Amino acid sequence: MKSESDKEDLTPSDEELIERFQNGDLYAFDLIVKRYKDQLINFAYRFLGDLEDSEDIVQETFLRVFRKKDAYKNVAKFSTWIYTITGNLAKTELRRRKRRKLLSISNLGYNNKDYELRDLKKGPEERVDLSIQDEMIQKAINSLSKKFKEVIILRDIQELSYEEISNIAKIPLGTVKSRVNRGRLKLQEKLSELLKDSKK
Amino acid sequence: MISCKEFQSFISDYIDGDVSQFLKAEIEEHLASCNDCSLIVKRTLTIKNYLKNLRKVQASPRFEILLRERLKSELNNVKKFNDKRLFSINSFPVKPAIGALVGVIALISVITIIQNNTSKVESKFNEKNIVSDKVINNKAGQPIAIPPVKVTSQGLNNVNKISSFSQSNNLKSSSIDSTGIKSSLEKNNLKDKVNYVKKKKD
Repeated sequence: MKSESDKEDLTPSDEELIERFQNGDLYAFDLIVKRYKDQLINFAYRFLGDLEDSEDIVQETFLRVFRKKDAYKNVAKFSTWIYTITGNLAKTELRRRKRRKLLSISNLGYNNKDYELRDLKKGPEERVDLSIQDEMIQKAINSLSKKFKEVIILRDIQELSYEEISNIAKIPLGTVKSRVNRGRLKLQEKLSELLKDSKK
Repeated sequence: MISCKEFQSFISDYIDGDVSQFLKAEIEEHLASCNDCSLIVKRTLTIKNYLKNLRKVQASPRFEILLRERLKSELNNVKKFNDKRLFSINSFPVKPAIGALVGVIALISVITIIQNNTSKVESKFNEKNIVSDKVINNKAGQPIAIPPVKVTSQGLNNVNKISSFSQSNNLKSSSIDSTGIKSSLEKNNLKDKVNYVKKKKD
């Protein structure tokens, strides 16, 4: 009977899987999808606050991996590469939303009584059964600027190393640490009510 | 001992355990005497804990099915694109077209070569061609006109015969240049001409 350590040894690494896929093994691609779909959706969801958009983005991520499998060179970790793709797509989606919001503002006339901006997408609370605490935290994350949001999610939610975050976000290690620090302090401000409650 | 401002720049490093023993001792010394900074550390740890324990969002059950469908449609599009390209190549009769093209080129080449050769031969021939308006004088010195002679390249000997005949019969040939003749008189024509000359002479 095989021990746990033997089983672990038999589990192919990400880099082995992508190499197998690059050599035409489609089953290796399936394994990559199974291994990464949930963590990438979680990352995208925390970034965008919308499950449907997150799934679309992660689907697009896997399609890009499928199309551009040969673009991956075994000099960086595969996880860094795939997280970078998802992160870039998520940032693009945020920019797109911003443009749409601006467009919807500019389209409002003076006589238009409907000044209230309606969300183009349903809020995350409508798609995911979040607890009130989770909802407050997600709102606080959403309110962070992109540069803080990305590092906080990667560090404190996805629990990646500073080095990996530095590679994904393409910023120096010192900047990652500084942003994580400032991001956490900003979240403290935004979640002061929650923190007060937790103190009680 | 470090200040509150200095400490705040190290909070995350301290919480993540990414500080040297010396700095750690300095921070802890500061925290022991600063309630505000202690509160910040506690809150930061709480926030970190909240974030870590946020409910993990998972892919919907249809995620992989949808992905497969998208991959299939993408592969089909690629296949259709390739098929279209192949079809467009296959539907065009490439081989016959190439054959016809080669044939046309060969034909043009042959025609060109023939034309070149013909013009060369003609020019050469014109340079060296005999004047076919042959004038032979009879004994009285009166010219005997001979109609233009159609010659062929095989008739050189025949023409030589005319020449020798003319000489043997004291006929002066003013225009027969046997060396330049590349044509021949046909036998019958030759005889006719000889008879004609004989008659005129008489």
